[in-house]
Amino acid sequence: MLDSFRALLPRLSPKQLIVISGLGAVLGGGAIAPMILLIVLGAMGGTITGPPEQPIAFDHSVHAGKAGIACEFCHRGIPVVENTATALGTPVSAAATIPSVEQCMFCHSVVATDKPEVQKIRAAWETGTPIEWIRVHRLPDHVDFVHDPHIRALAEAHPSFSTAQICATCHGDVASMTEVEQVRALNMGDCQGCHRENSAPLDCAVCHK
Amino acid sequence: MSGIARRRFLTGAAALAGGATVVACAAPERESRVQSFVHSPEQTLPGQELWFATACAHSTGGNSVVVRTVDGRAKKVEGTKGFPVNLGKTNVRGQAGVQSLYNPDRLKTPLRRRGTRGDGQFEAIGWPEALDLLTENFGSAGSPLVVTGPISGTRLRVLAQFLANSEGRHLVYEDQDTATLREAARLIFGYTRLPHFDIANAGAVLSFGADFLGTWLSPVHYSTAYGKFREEPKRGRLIQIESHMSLTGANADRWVYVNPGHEGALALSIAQVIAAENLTGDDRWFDPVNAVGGIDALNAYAPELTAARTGVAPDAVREIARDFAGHPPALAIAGGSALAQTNGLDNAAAALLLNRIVGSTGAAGGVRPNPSAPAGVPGPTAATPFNQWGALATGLLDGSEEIDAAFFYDVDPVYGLPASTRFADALGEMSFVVGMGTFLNETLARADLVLPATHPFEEWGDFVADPAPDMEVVGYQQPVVTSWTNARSFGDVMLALTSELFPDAPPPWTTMRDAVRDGAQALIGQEGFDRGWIELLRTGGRWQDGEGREAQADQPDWHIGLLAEPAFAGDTTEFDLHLIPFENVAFGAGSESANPWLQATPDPLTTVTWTTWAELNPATAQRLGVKRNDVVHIDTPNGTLRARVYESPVAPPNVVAVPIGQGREFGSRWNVDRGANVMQTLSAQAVAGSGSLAWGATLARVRPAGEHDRLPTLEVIEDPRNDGEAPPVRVTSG
Amino acid sequence: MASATDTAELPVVAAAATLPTDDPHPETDGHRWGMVIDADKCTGCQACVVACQSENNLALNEENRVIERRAKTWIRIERYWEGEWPNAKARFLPVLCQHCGNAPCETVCPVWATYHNPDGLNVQVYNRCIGTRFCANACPYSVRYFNFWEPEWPSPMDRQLNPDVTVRTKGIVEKCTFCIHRINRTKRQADRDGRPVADGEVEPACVQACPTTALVFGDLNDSDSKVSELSHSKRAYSLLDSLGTAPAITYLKKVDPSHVGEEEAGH
Repeated sequence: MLDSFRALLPRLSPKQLIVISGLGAVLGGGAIAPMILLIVLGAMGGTITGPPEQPIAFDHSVHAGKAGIACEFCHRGIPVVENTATALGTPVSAAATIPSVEQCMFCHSVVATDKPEVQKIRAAWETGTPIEWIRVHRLPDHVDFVHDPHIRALAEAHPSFSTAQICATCHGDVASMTEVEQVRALNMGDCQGCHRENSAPLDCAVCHK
Repeated sequence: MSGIARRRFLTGAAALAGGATVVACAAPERESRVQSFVHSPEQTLPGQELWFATACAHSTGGNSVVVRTVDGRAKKVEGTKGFPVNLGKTNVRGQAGVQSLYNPDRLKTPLRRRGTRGDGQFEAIGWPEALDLLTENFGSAGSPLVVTGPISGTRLRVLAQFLANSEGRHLVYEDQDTATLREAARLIFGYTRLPHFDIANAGAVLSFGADFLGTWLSPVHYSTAYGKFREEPKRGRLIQIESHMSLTGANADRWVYVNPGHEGALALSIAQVIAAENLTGDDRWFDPVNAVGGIDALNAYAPELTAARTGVAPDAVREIARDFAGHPPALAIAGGSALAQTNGLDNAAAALLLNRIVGSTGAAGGVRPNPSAPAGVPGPTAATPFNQWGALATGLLDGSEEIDAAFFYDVDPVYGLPASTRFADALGEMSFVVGMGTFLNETLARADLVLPATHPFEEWGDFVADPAPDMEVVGYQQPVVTSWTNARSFGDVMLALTSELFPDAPPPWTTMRDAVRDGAQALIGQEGFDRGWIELLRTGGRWQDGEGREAQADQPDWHIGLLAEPAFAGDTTEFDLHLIPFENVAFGAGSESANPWLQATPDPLTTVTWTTWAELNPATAQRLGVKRNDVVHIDTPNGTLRARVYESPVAPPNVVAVPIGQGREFGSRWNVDRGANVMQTLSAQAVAGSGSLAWGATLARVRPAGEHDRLPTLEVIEDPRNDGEAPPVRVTSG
Repeated sequence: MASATDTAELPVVAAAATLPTDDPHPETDGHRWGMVIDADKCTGCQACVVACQSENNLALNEENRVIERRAKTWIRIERYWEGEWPNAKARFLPVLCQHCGNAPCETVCPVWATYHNPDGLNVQVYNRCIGTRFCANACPYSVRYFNFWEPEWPSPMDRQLNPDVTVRTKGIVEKCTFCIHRINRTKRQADRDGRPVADGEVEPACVQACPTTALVFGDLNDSDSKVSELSHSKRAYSLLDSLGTAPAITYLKKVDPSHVGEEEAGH
């Protein structure tokens, strides 16, 4: 119940939260109080809710960390950046994309086949069942987010960054996460803040669809 | 898809604040999950768009389209750029293709009849069982009958395998067959293929009832040509002569009403003026006129002598003739209700003759012969004209003809043939009837076995464009999505049936894909085939100037004396109006009325959606004592239909015009029990010389039904009966 | 009740030109998207209408919606009758959001859900809209549509929905966007390739579908674009020009050969 509400509620910055809470306190009416409670919950929803439980306990710290596999090796929708603003590796999807089961099997048909989590992947492969991952980073339907311009802008601003460092700007240090969780609010204020700092477009229509 | 509704949150919050029960308002479960592909299809990434060239094989003229797919789902249809028929463009029907593809009321699985024929009671069965039923019944059949639409290319070759082995018969059913136009073109020009009418380069187009911008032959092709035709500074002029204003008529610079059936007489009047005033500036009109009877015969059609019959004033005829001959190259075409008369063939011949008279044959802006169909991919078989369908029905009913097994694919003759032909009853005389299509229709509902056909976007195929756009064009079809139903393609079913029935002479291909590839090999050769094949699929087909254009006959094989007076079904004292049925841009003769976008597409002239209406001149309506939105009965000598009155200022006073396409018992939730089927009420008269249905030759009377029912129109006109009060809006929850 | 003499004493209203108003087309380095609609080429075939419905996830216009005049068509073809039988004519006019430079809808929105963007587009931010419908009432072209119902597509029809365009929920106003998702996509692609957007590269769904090329779309800030050239045609006019809305859509008058002589005589 609480989780579903968190997902529903507007995501607010701490400043907005203080203003609204203050307003609520001043008005103080009985009818307003539950509303404020919900907004507070909403703020929680907008920040960090902890990593969700995934159907397969995939460990990024092993793959991206220890094994040092590049992000784009599995997330094939990411345009590859070679220390410059040149985006290579078209076709490029708007989304980074969750890898297919087939891709896991490239390695796991031979690697660590005895591990119970890997066997889950093998089972999905053999039965042809898609794996239903739980989304960690989710933007509302009315947001037209495309990875490519963001990655190119970051590559241009930080020529020395590796792809992993670029990804970490929004996704955090995934290579050190056992379970991936959201580290940034990724609400409109968060987007706008970054757009302002980097002189990126602030026109509503650039992101809202 | 709707995202998290902030509004819904507020509703929830308000409910909570008000102390009411908290409503469940969680984010859609599916949005918090993300599925991974098991296999990653080649060149495919989740969320990435891919465009595939394919075709709506049954579209008029043969257009190639590209379909945008994302994650294996078809999203949008656009025309294939460069494809010479439609040049990257589409019409409403092409655009609406995806909604037929994903229509929830499609046939999803084979069905076996449960009740008596025609009551639409079926039980779902599997394909193995369906194929067993097919082989059992077609194996014992003497000479099976296969009825299809105007199919061409590999479908025809696959069908030929079956027919050769089974000694079966193939009939082609078309809702409005082109036999009359084809025969007229043969008489006047000597062509056996439909010629190319070069509208784009014409200086003047004189059209006798041909709605080339809406529904005639290849409307997308002609519309692209019309865009060029209207390009300034040349800007060609369009004169439309017809008995009911079509979409093309609405766009004409001059629109002229002609009494139904007298189009040929008017054409000859125009010819007479051209000859008498020597409007071509030379004597080029002399030879063709001489060949069809000479100037004396033509003089009998001087404007003064025909005015009473045609209803066109002599001065107007002279103006038309001057306008037409004065803007070379001048192109004359004929179609629609001008040809759907008992004398329709001669009307068409007289109209097409004008091209020879002004000398615009064989050149740009005129009528040109089309190249023949390429080797390896046969062109479409000519449609079986209406009189043969009537004869078949009569034969079946009187026992002189027997059919053990019949296979109907993607056609609906029970809907399209007049009730007086008794085709539905004749169907009952056939021992075993199989119907195949994407939706249930009036014919399929009377079958013993119904097979779900794949949508054109789900199957392999090819087609030969007819009429060709002045070049040899073969279009290719590939599946752009996997079918969400348990449907199979016609070709695959035919191949399975043939190899099952005739194991000694199996067809050379096992799947439709193999057969299409094989046909392509004949077209582009063995060398570098794989690359050429990919190129075919990428570009949507192959086109080239084409060899083997038919030569134009030296002289027209027609005579002015052949033009007869039109005959009409119904006594003029009892039936005082001409009933003119017409096709609508949205779903033509009704084959795609199951599609809600097409149902909701306004008829361009009246802006009516979703129903059948009767177009009446305001003066006629007043005389009959009816107004807009009144329900009327339209009686013909063969039946009655109900429609709502639309008072149109462009409707001729002696005509009631009714759109074709509604009035179905079977189909989807969007087209069943909606409006009326005007085709059923027509008299079964044929066009002399071509055998097509003379669908414009039935008289009718209109009487009020005493009810009224608001027309769903885009235009805002107050209902004259409810005093300007807006209709009540249904308040719904949700 | 004011008499004639009373009104004569009232201060004279400033001429329209002197009224304080924003420049409808402020100078920008960017694009100013516009369209030209040639009424002489539009046949009224409705291809644009269905193309738009398909591209932009418009809800089904059921029969009752049409009767209640709640049908939504971001682009519609208006048909006008001229004259009486037997000289009656039908005229077609495609009408969509005019993306006005002086948009009456923008000033009335209490929550800034609709605004003018730097590319000259009139933008509707759906998730900001609270459904007052002030904008729809202010629009002289009646091209803003309110969602009275939650849109529904019986499964599997929802598979057709375009992921680039959001589905509008009940209670908000929606309208033509000039297919802004296509514009944004093309701009991104051009940016990636390090080149400007070429003329004719962006085609809204209606423009793409139009078989006679009666609709032309492009950048009005590019003086070489087809749309700029056509908008200077002698036949050019704006819809309800007298309102001063400065639309981004220019119409080209239908040519009527029977009137050509008269006009020439008049000049």
